[in-house]
Parts: sequence; structure tokens; C-alpha cells
Amino acid sequence: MEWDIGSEARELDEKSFSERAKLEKRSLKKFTVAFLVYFSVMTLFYFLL
Amino acid sequence: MLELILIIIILAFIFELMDSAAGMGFGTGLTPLLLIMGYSPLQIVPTLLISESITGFIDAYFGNELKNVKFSFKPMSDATKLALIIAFFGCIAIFFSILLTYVALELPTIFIKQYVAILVLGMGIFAIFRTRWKQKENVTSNLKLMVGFSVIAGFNKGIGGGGYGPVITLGQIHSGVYEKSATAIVSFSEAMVSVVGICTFLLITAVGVEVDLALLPSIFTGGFLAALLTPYLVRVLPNKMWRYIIPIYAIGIGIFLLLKIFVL
Repeated sequence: MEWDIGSEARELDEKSFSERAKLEKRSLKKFTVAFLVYFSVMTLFYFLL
Repeated sequence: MLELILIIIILAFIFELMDSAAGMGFGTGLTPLLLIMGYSPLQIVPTLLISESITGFIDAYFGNELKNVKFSFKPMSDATKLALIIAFFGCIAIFFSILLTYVALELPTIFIKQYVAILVLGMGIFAIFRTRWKQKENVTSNLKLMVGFSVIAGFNKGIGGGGYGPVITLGQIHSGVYEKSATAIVSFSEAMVSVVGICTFLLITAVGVEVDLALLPSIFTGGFLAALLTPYLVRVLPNKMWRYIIPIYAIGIGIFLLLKIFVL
């Protein structure tokens, strides 16, 4: 049985460096949310540890 | 009081960066360093498990977001299925690790560690040669071969030899999984396996063993920042680079494991 894994990454690899480096707005928002998650977890550690 | 130790943050950042990018080395590299710094296994192991479970999910999530891999549940993508298969064997491995450790089954530890070190070293060297031999990329991956590697990796971890990440990552690459996707799949499956490890430690705590999580804020900070940065690095750098970085890092880990047995 054979699977197809990584086809999207392969397609992206064929694009130029600048296209790979460019981030969509949606991704930037998610990075911002991730930082909020980090600060929330650290606050939780502050009270728990 | 929340204590952040700069040197621990830097070490966790470096090892998590390499772990997320190359699919291996966080526990193998960081644990002996922390032991040398005077921390006890009960301070290190649960902390690494908690940190790895969170950073693993973060790394997998952003790996998916940045198109290094495609994880989906409805319908379930092949990458998700593979991560679940790997996690399944990892969970069985954790179970047997604990059985072997606490039921005190005597195993010749030195031979097990030698076997794992040589296996990791051999797989790394083979992966380098494979990169040179293979001109044409495989578009499909071989599931049966990957299940076989999951069993071997689980067995290694189960008998206490470590080397789970290197065997799973290199096993995926040998089975035809694209390098950029392989490391994200390892992160996802290791996060799931770490959750099982955390539950085990909760059980141990319930019977009176005290765990110390003082290192957690520092390790989590370094690991979290690395887990955010790495999927972007993996996306931007060409796969050709990862094709060499991963096996070279695995060879380094294999040599480090051998040095730990014979020299350190």
C-alpha cells in the first residue's frame, strides 16, 4: 500500500525563495494567537508552580 | 515564584529547534546536559514530557499551517494516519519501558545502548548515501515499511535504549516520506506519546513519588519559541538542505550515544 505524503510541501519547494518566505495574513494572526497562548500558559505556571 | 533561567532557555531553544527541524535530539541531547548541571531525573523527565507535548502540537499545527505537511481528520489525511500509527507504537513502547523499569527485569543495558547507537549511526550513514544515490524523488511512501520502522523504534524505546526520534524520522525518509513532512509527523506523534508519559507521571505522583517542575517555565519558554520558529525555517529552506541536515544530525547523535557509553 502506498501513500501520498508531502505533495503540498513539494509544490511549495518548486516556488522561489521569496514566495516561500512570504506569510499569509491568516498565518500571521495565528502566530499572534500562539504568543497569547504562551503568555496564558506562563500565567498558569505562575499560579500553579 | 516563577523562575526563568537564561541558560536553560537557550539550551531548550537550541535542542527544540533541532528536534522540530530534524525530528530528533530533544531528550537525547538535553537530558545528559541537565544531569551534568546537577538536576535530578525527577526534575528533568516530567518537565521534558510536558514541554514536548505542548511544543510538539504547536510544531505540528504550524507545520500544517505553513504547508510543510497536511494534517486533517475529516477526511483523515495520510500524514495524520501515519502520525497516529507512529504514536500507537510509541504509547505501547512507553508502557513496556515502565514495565521493564519498575518490574526490574534485568536487561544487559550496555548492549541495548550499543545496539541503538549503532542503529542510529548506521541509518544516518545510509540516509546520506541514499540521498546521493537517489536522483529521482519518490512521490509515494511505503506504509508497510513505515509500520516496520515504528515497531523497531517502539521496541528500542521499550527496552530503554532511546533513539525513538532518529529511527522514526530516518525510517520515514527511507520509506519515501518527504523530509519536510517527516519531521512534522514525528513532532505530532511525539506530542501524543508525551501525553501518555505525562499521565504515567501523574499516576506515579498519586502513589507518593514527588516530581519537581521548577525547570518547566524555562524549558517551555525556549521550546515554545523554537517550535514557532522551526516550521517557518523548514518551509523557507529548500528540502535539499534538510536531506543532508537530518542524517548528519542523526550521525552526530549516534556518535554522541557511543561516546556516552564508552567515554563519558
